[in-house]
This record gives sequence, C-alpha cells and structure tokens, in this order.
Amino acid sequence: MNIVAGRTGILVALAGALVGAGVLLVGLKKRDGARLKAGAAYVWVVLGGVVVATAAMQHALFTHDFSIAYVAQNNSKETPLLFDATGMWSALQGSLLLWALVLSGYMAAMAVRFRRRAADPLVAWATLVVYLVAAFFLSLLAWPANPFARLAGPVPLDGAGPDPLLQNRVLVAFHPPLLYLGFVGFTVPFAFAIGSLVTGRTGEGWLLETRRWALFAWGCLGVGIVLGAWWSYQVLGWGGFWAWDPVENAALLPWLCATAYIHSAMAQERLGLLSVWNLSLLVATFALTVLGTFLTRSGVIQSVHAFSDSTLGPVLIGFFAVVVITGVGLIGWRAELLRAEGQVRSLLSREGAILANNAAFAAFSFLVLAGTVFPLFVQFFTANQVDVGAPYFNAVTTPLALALLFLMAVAPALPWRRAGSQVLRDRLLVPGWVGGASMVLAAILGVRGVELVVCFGLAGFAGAGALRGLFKSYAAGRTMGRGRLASFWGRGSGGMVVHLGVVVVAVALATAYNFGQRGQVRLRPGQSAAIFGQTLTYHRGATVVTPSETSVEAVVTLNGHGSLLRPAVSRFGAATTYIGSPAIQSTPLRDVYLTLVSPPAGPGSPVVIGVIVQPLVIWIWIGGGIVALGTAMSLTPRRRMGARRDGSSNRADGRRGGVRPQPVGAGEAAG
Amino acid sequence: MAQRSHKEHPGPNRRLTPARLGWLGLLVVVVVVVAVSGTKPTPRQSSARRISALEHELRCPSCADLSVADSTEPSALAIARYVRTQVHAGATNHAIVSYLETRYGQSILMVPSSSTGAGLLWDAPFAIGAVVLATGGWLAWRNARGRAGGGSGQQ
Amino acid sequence: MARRHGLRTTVLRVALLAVGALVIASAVVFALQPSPGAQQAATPLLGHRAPPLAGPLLAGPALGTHRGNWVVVNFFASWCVDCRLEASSLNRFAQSQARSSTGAARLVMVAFSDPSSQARGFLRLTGSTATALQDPGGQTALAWGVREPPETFVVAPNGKVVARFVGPVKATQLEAVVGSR
Repeated sequence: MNIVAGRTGILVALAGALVGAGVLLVGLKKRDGARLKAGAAYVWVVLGGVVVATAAMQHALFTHDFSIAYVAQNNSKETPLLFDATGMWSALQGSLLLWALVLSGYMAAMAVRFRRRAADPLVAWATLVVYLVAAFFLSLLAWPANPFARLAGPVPLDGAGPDPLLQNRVLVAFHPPLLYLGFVGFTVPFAFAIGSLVTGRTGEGWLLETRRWALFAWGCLGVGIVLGAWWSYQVLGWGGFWAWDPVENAALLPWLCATAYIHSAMAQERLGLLSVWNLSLLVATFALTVLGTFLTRSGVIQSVHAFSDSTLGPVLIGFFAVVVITGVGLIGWRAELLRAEGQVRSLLSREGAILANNAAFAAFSFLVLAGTVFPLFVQFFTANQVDVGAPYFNAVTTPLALALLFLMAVAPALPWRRAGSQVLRDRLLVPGWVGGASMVLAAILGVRGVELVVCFGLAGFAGAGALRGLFKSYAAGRTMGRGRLASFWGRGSGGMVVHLGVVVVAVALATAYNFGQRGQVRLRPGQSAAIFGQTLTYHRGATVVTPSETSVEAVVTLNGHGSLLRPAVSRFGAATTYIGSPAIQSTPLRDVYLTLVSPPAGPGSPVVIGVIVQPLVIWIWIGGGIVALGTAMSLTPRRRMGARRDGSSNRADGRRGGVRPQPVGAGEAAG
Repeated sequence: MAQRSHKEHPGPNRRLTPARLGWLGLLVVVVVVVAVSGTKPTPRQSSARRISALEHELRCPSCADLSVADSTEPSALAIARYVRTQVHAGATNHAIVSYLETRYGQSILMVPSSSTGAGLLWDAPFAIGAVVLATGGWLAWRNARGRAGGGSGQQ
Repeated sequence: MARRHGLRTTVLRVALLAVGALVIASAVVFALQPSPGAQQAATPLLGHRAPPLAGPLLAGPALGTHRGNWVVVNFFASWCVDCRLEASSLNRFAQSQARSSTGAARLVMVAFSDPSSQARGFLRLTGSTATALQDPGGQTALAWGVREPPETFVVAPNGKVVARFVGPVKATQLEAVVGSR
C-alpha cells in the first residue's frame, strides 16, 4: 500500500509539474491571463502529490515496511522513533524526496505570495522555471532514484537500520532539513532572475521581490552548515568541526555565492549597479547547489558526510550544465538591456566596498571550488588519485577571511555614492582603537604569530564597527519616532547583528583551531591523571544495552566534581563495527572532548581515553545562533513609514547620481 | 562634511587634529604589536616538531579528510608509528614521504605535490589577486581621470 | 557612446561564452569519471616487488618460502564485517588451490589492528586453515599500503604484485587472476 501511494504521489506530482509548465507556456505564447492563472494552480497538484509520497514514506518507516528496499536499508525494528522519521534523509532516494518536498513547499509559498500577479508574464516565467526544476527532481524520484522500489526477494524480518553515524544525535533531525531549505530556496530567486531575463524586465523590481526569499534561503543554509559542523563535532570523534570535506565544501560554495549576492543586491537596489553581476551570482548559486548535489550524491568523491552513492552522476551533471548554459545564454542575449545605469565612482564608497567584498567572496568560492574538483581533473588527465585537504584550503582562504573581516569593519561606515575617506576617519577611530586594544590584549595573553594577532585585531575592529552600526540604526529609528524595540528590530540592525555573529564565529574558530591540545591518558579504575590543566578521574567501565545499540563506556569525572562523562564506543543494530561516541563538557571558555580510544577489556583493566581541550568552541555555535537571529531581524517586514521612505529616497538619489549629503544615521542605517 | 574634506584635501600644511593624532597613535600600536608578536623565537628543528609537521602533511588512509595527526584510525596510528621511528632513525622528511607515496599513492598527501599539476592550484590565488588588483587599479585610475576631467562622467 | 556600449556588450558576451565553454568542458570531465566501486583497485605496488611478509604466526602452517608460487595476501580483522562476508570465499579458493597439483596459490592472512586472541577467534569461527600472521604496530599493512580491511593482493610467482582487491573478494575473481597467467 505504501508503495502504491508513494509511487502514485510522485507520478501525480510529476504530471502536475509538466502539465502546469505546458499550460503556462501556452498561456505565455497566447498572452492569455486566464491560462496563466490556471497554470499557476497546478502547484497544488505538485504539492499534494509530494505530500502524499512523503506521508507514504514516513508511514512505511514507522511501520517498518521492509518490502520497500529503501526502508529495509535505512530502518530497523529497533530504530528509535525519531530516527524512524529522519530515516527519510539517511540516503539518496529519501533525500531527494525531502528535496522535492521542500521545493513544492517553496512553490506553494510562491503561488500564495504572487497570487494576485499570476497573470504577470514575469511571474509566469518564474513559475515555469520552478515547474521545470521540480519536474527534473520528480523524474529522478520516479525512475533512477525511486524511493519506493520494491525489495527483490522475500521481505526480511528486520532491516539494516540507518547508518550508525546518523542515529545517535538529535541534530540529524534538524541539520539536513535546514540545509535543504537553504539549497532549494535559491530556486526561487533563480527562477525570477530567469523570468526577468526572458521578459526583458531587468530592472530591479524582481530583485526587490526576491530579496527576502534569497535572504531566507541564505540564513537557512548558513544555520544548516553550522549545525552540520556541530553534528560532525559531536559524532565523528576527532574533536574538529570543519575538515574541508567535499560535502562540507558543497554546502559552503552556494553559501559564499549567496553571501556575495545579498551584499551586491544592495548596490543594485540602491544605485542600479552590478545588474549583470547579480544575475550571474544567482545563476552561480543555484548551479552550485546542483553541482553540490552531484559531488555528494554521485559517489565520485569519498566523504564522511556522503551517505549514498549512485549512478545519478551524469544526469545531475547534465542538469548542472543546462542550468549554467541557460543562465549564461540568457544574460548574453539580454546584454544590451543590462548595461549599468551608473558606475562605481569611488572605491572608497559603500558601493566600492561592496565591490571589494564581492571580489573577495568570488575569489573565496573559486578557490574552494578549485580545490574541491581538482582531484577529478587530475584523475581524468593523469589517472592519478590525489586529494586536496585542509592545508591548502586553510592557506588560501585565511588571507581572504582577514580581508573580509577588514571590509566588514569598514564598509558599514562608508556613505553611498561618494568618496568617504574623511567620513571613515571620523567614524572608524573608535572601532579602530577597539581593534588595536584587541591586538594588545591578544599579545599580552601570549598570542604569537602575525596572522593570528591581526585576526584578533580585525575581529575587534569589525565587532566594534558592527556595534556602532547597530547603535546608529537604533538612534536613527528613535529619531524617526519608532519605539525602542522597533528601532532595534529591522533590516539595518539585522545586518549588523549578522556581522557580530560572524565576528564571534571567526574569533572562536581561530582560537579553537590554534590553541587546541590533544593527547591520551591510560587509566585504571579509580586512577586520576592531570592533562592540559584538567584532572581526569576514571571510575569504572560499563556496558549499556538498549534495543537499538550496545555501548561500552568509561565513566569519568573532570576536576573531581560535576556530572559524569561517558565517552563510549557503540554498536548499532545488526552492525558489528563499533563507532565512537565522544563525551563533551562545554564551558564558555573551553570544551573538554573525551573519546574512548581503547575500551576496558574487563573489570579492573585499564582504558585509554583521548583528551582534546579546545578553547571557545561553544562560541562557534552561539555565533551561528547570532547570525540566525540577525537574519530573522532582516527578514521581518517593517510596515512603518520610515523604512519605506528611507529606501525610496535613496534610490531616487542614486538615479540622479546626486551627492546630496544625508544625515549621518539615515545613510548608514539601512545598510 | 563634503566641504570639510574639500578644505583638508589639498594643502601640505596638515595640522594635527585630535582625530589625526588618534589614528597616528593607533598606527604605532599596531606596528609595535605586530612587530612583537611576529618575532617569535625561531622554532628549533626538534624531532617532536618534525614528527608533528609530518603527521599534519599526511592523510589518514582510511578516513576521508583527516590528517594522521587528527585521526586515531589504525591505519593512521601505523603511519604515525612509522614516522616516529624513521625520524628517530635519522631519515629525511623527503625519504619518509616518498616511501609512503610508493605504498599508498599520491593521495596519502594532504595536498598533492607539484608533480601532479598542483602547482596550478597554488598559483590560482596569485592569479586571482593580480586580476583583482588590476581591476581595482583600473577603476581607481578611471575615477581619478573622471574627477580631473571635471566630472564629465561616463554615463 | 553607442559604440562604447556595443564594445561592452561584446566583451560581456565573449566572457560569458568563455564561462559557458569552461563549464561544459568541466561537466564532461566530471561525467566521465571512472565509476566508483571498481573492485580491482589501483595501487602503486602493481608491477613492483611485493613487500616482505613477516610477523609472529597466529595460526596455520609456518610461512616458509613461496618463491615460485602464486601468493594471495589477505588483510583481515575480526571487527570488520566485510571480512566475514568474504571468509567462505577465501576458504573455498584456498582449498581448491590446495587440490590442484601445479602452481597452486598459497593464501596468507594478515591481521589488521586486531589483538591476537580476537584474530584467532575469527579464524576459528570462519574455519580458516591458511597461514595467518600477526602484524604488531601495523607496519606490514603500511608496507602494503592497506587502508582498511579487507584488502587482498595477488603476488605472481616472480614476486611482483599483480592485483589488489578492496572490499570482499570472490573466489572466482582470484582464480581469474591466478589462472590468467
């Protein structure tokens, strides 16, 4: 029954997407508004179909319907309830179903948001593009990656269960869905970009319409990436959070491009600059999500995060090529329409800083991309197997990260549309001194190495700059007569809060990475050892058996008090390999990360415990939370007069190329 | 503000305003701190340091993206042990690394050696830097010329 | 002015064309990657002298000399699932080789990061009768470039490595290599 329902749901959704696309195409050709409205309504067919398929999959997982091959491989009777549900994204086919679910959700949101403008050709073209993207993923689900494929042979009594790494942390329930909300969300701005190119309405209207969509997807992707890092920190047992793994890079690449976009979109919104560049960034972002899916789902690259391999490679790479060619071709075709309204007159202006920001992010993405796909090229041309790892990525991205911190400090203080050297001198003196003080403090605390000291200095500079921006936008809100909360909660302050979050993450990463210590201690029950300023006491070994797992753990206390820590190795379900589950004690200043390197052979025998002490790790996750908060602030629509007037009057200035001096606050606040 | 900058831009007789003093002070602080923190004692080539450096250059063979230093996999521990004994026995870094290459292949290196075209990979940042600097320079030059030409603009 | 815009448009189009061409070329490179999971895996040892086998004897007959014989070297561990899967296959191969009169291949098992007691237990459980060696410190596995068990190497009578299998190996695969030369 699950198979029939799921299969039907997918096929109905696919048919809905194709028919909807067809109706829209006819409507666009005949300029028939009624047809366009009718075409948009097929969104509900797609959503309905995918929801039925998802429900069927969830039902199959909860009822352990092992006649479905996917369920037999990713579920077992002993799997805890939560991981029954998350089994849907434990492997390729189910992940694609999640992808389709998220996409159809976005389609429905689009249909609601633009319901009054369904007859507008630009909206119709955008909807058409989304239909086609949905049709692509649904046809993958219908044939090569069918999640409802029947298991060959007799139905087994029990399934294999999800990959052990995917069934011991709650984060598994949040990280992939958020990542997909990010990945898939870029379909909407991409679709509108294509729509604007096809219809020739390349003004900034579509950009304003989709700004919030892009920002939402960007926020989800960023939080998804941080949660992914958190997951690997908690699970993988090496105490790190980022290994420049291909799958991590695949998520980072669209995020980098999108970060460039949400900054450069401001320049287009304000001054009509960079229109070709913005369109290219949107095409690149969307294309990179497809490329990322290819890299992670086709099995060409080995990775700790890749829980599937398949033969989808050529299909996905083909789709990637189609996306890029379409985007590039349309931009080329409309090149005449896309000439810039103005030019960046001074590099020492806000738009100049945005240009520099975009250059840095573009270089960042390019280098990460180059390092990620380099092995594929080497293998193709020389048949050698090589791999590019952390030392390369760290070396090439560190200078860029420092440059971005610097820009983050300077850019928000710069005025639009005019050279601001004097303005900078006045506005940045205090943040500059905060940066200088951070450097002095770092040096006094014993930090050595120019790169690191400069990093802390720039972080202080950027942090103080963001606080200053926050204060200014609050003050501007107050002078416009808004309430205290309303003055704090808005787009301009949201951006500054995001900057603060990024600074927190940067400081935490630099500190944890450079001042982490790792070692091992060998202890008998009752013994203590001092290591890296911590006293570790091993009490006893224990074996814990639950229906889903068997763990051997060491019961340990840190510094003589506090809660018991239980680093363990566990065996899940029928698997015979043990995987480690680290125990972590987090405090604001440092994390102690314990792993069971060799479990006790019997009562009274010694254990070897791996000890990793890293400072400030918790602030990486807190910083991620601050970024999420700032994104939410930027997303909240503000219905007050002030904001609207602010935006439009500046826009008008830009068109005239005027250099009318603005009140200090107003010019900065909306950045 | 625009007027003030007009007054200050030309003219060599720059007075020491408080703001200017502030920036000057900051510059001094930054230079001093960078100089102090940069002059760390040159690390002695102790064998422990060599071992640690090698462990960071070598990839754990059975994990996807961790160095030997970061991993406790059996294969990584075997390599760590090999590195340790060879360093203590007086082998050169080159000898150690190339022995492991003949066993595991190029992928044992965290970053491919230049023989496989990795030179391109390392040149890429410089190429990009050059392009960015050239573009920035061109923009600055164009703006300067535009301003000198009475702001005729190129709209 | 008009000419200028024309020039800019042309430059833009040429740049876009270059990007498009680059992407298509890359897509072709990506699409034509060798399919993953090929059983016969590459190793720099192929065609080179096999590294020496040494170590305390775990089980089976003593190592002795195997100059002039085919040797199949299998790295295993009691904790490795795939090793259990391939055990019966390896036994079948060893037995059929022992029955054949000429050029019989010998099987040598090497424990990979496994305490002696557990490795012996595994061998008893799977009914192996082959020569089995312990590998303290993993230096034999390192010399052979073993990443993760099971890995199986075939050494020709001239002492050169001719094949490497990653993952569970089938008797027929080994016979194909041994019989083909």
